[in-house]
Amino acid sequence: MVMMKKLICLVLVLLCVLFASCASPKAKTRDIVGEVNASSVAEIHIYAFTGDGGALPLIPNFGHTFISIKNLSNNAFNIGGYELQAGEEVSIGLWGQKASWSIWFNLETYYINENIYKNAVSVKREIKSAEEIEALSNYTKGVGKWTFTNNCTVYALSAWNLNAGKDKIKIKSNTPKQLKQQIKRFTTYETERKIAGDQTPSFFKGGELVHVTPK
Amino acid sequence: MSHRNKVIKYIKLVVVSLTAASIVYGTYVVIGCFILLDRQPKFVLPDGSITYSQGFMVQGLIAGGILAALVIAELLFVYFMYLRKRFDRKAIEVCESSGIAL
Repeated sequence: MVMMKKLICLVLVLLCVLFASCASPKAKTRDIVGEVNASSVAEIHIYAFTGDGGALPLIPNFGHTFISIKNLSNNAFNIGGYELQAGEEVSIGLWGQKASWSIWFNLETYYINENIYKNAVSVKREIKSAEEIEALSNYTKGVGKWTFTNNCTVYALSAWNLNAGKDKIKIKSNTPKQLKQQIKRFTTYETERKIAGDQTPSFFKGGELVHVTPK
Repeated sequence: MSHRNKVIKYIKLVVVSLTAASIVYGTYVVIGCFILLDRQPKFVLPDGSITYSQGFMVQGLIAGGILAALVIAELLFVYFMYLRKRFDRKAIEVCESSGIAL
């Protein structure tokens, strides 16, 4: 009996040591290297929303990840087929919408203005050149359809990491929850950032930009 | 009450609890999916059709997966804790009556 108690104590001690060693150390903070400045062509924001406020208990809600691009130059440029005017900002996300399981523009802008994305976090960095814009545009055009393995987080994170240099973000699994943790490591991260503009949501169908209106 | 009867009573209790949990959770998931559908912002296309996010379907699928796991757990429990023992007993009886040494 005494031996049994000793064995149980030993197992408990071992479990405590195991849990202590597995506990993740507090993540270090990061500074954005590519800060937006006067010479920047555009700024890119990456957002992670983890479903706060919209979930039902015991039914998983993974949330959403997307990007927004703000044109800081004096000229319009094309991003994934969308003509972005000088000073304009567009949200871009990969969606599983009934009408199109692909890239949508300004859909998240509507969601943000409707205060649906509660506690969403975001961080921004600069886009330095027209070449970077072109790379991002080509990537957006070729991203394909939404699937489990080609989801909103995969698109947004890959778009952010294009030419990101030291501002690259790495996550273990492509979920908004994982991304949110990494975004919050940046000292300049924002919560519930608004996207200015009243453009209606749109998507490409047969090469044509189709605008939708809220019901 | 014999030990065997106690075990059978315990097994029945677990099976009934799991079945009840499966039914309650399944009903909740179906109702939950309708609630999530109702909550989705909806948009009108130029042709008059309606579009909305179908992400809640993925959530429903995962919840359905949890439900399926619950049902499978129940079936495995019944098999391993009850049926297999009964089959084993029957097999022993058959062997003994046939004169096969075990």
